[in-house]
Amino acid sequence: MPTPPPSFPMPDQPDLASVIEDFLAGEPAVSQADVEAILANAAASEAIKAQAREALDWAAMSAPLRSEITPPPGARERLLAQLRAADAPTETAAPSAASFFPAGDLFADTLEAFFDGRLTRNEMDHMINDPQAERGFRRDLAETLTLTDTLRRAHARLEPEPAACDRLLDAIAQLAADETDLGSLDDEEDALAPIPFPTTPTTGFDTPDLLAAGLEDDTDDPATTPEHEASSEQDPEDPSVRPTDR
Amino acid sequence: MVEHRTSNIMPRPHEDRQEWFQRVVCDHYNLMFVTAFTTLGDRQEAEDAVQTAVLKAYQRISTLKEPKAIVAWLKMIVRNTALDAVRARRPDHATSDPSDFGGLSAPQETPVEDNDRQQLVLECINELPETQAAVVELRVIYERDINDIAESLGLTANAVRVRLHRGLERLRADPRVRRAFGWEDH
Repeated sequence: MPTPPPSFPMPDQPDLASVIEDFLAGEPAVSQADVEAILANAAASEAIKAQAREALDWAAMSAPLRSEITPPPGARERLLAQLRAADAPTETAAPSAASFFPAGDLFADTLEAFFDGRLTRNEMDHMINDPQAERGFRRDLAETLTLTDTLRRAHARLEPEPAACDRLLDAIAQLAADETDLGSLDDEEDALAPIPFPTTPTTGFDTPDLLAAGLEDDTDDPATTPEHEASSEQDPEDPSVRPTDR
Repeated sequence: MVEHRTSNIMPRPHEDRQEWFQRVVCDHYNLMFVTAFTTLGDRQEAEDAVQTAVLKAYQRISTLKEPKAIVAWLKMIVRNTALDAVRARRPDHATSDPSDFGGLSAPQETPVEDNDRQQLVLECINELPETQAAVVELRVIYERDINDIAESLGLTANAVRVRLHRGLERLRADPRVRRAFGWEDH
C-alpha cells in the first residue's frame, strides 16, 4: 500500500483498523508511514489514533530486537505460529509436566535459540507472558530461565584465580620431570612417550583402574550409570534418545 | 579469568602426553574448579583439590581408554577428590549424603536468598551425571558454543543438546530447587 499523501481521503474507521493490524502482522504492503498518516489525520477517531500510536511504539521497540535475530529458515515462523495458535490448548492440555517438551520441539527450539543468542531475553519474556501460549510451556520456560539466570549470576564467583591454572601446569611439569627421572633410573616407562591409547572402542571410564587409583566407583549410582552407558552405547542420532521423546 | 580456548580435545600430531594433558587441563580448568568449589565452598581448598585430582589423573592417564572422554574423566576425579576432602574435614559426616555438604539440602520451608539459591543449584548440578553436569556448566554458566562443548566432551552436538535439556529438566524437577524458588509442584 503506497504512503497516503496528506490529501488522501481516509477510508472508513474499520479499514483504518485493518491497516494497523496489517502493519502489526508485518504485511509488506503496509509501511510505517501508512500508520503515521492515520495518526496525523484529523478524520481518524481517537480510538484509532490510540491504536496507531501503540502500533508505532511497538514497531520502535521491536525493531532492534528483530535486527538481532537470525533464526534458521522457518524456525521463527514455526515457533511463533505454534505459540500463537488460536486453538492452543490451555488448562486441558496433555500434562506438559510429564513431557519435557510440551509442544513437540517447541520448548527445545526456544531454549536453543535463546542459548545461541537468536532470541533475546526480552523475547523470551514476551513468550512467557503471552496469554495465547500454552500454560505449561510458559511455566516450564519461566522456570528454566530462572535457573539459567541464577547460574549466570553465579558466574563471577566461579572464576578461579588467574594464576591457579599456571600453578597447576607447573605442578604437572614437575610431576612429569620426576617421572622421567624415575623412568631413566628404573627403565620402566618414558613419561613423554606417545600416548598409548588402545584402538578398540571402550566406555572411556575404566572403573577398575579408577578403583586402583583410590577413586570412587560410582557405577552403582543409578544417576551416573545410564549416562556413562549412553555416552558410549547409544547413538546420539538415534531418535530414541532425542529430547522430544522424554 | 582463565581463557577458554577452542581446541581439539584429541592429541595432536607430535604432541606428547604431557603437552596434550596440559593443554586439556588448561582449557578446562574452570570446569574442574567449579566442580571442586561447589563441593568445598572455599576457593583455596577448591584449587588444592583440583591440583590433587589432576596430578592423580596424570599418574593414571594410561588407564584412560578413550582420550575423547578425558574431560568427563577429569571432572569425575575432581569431584571425588573434593568429596574426599570434605569427608576428611568433617569426619562426623563421612557417611552422609554428599548433597548435604553445602548445608542447603535440608528441607526449606520458605524460598531462600539468591546466593543460597545459586549454591543450591550448583550443588544439584554436581549430583548430575558427569557429562550432563559438564554440559550444563559449560553451556549455561560459561556460555560456550554447542560445537565447542561437543568437541570438549567427545560427544555429538545433538548429544550435547540432549544432555543440556535433560540436565536442566532434572534441576528444575529437583524438589530442593522447587522449594528454594517457591515453585509449585509439577
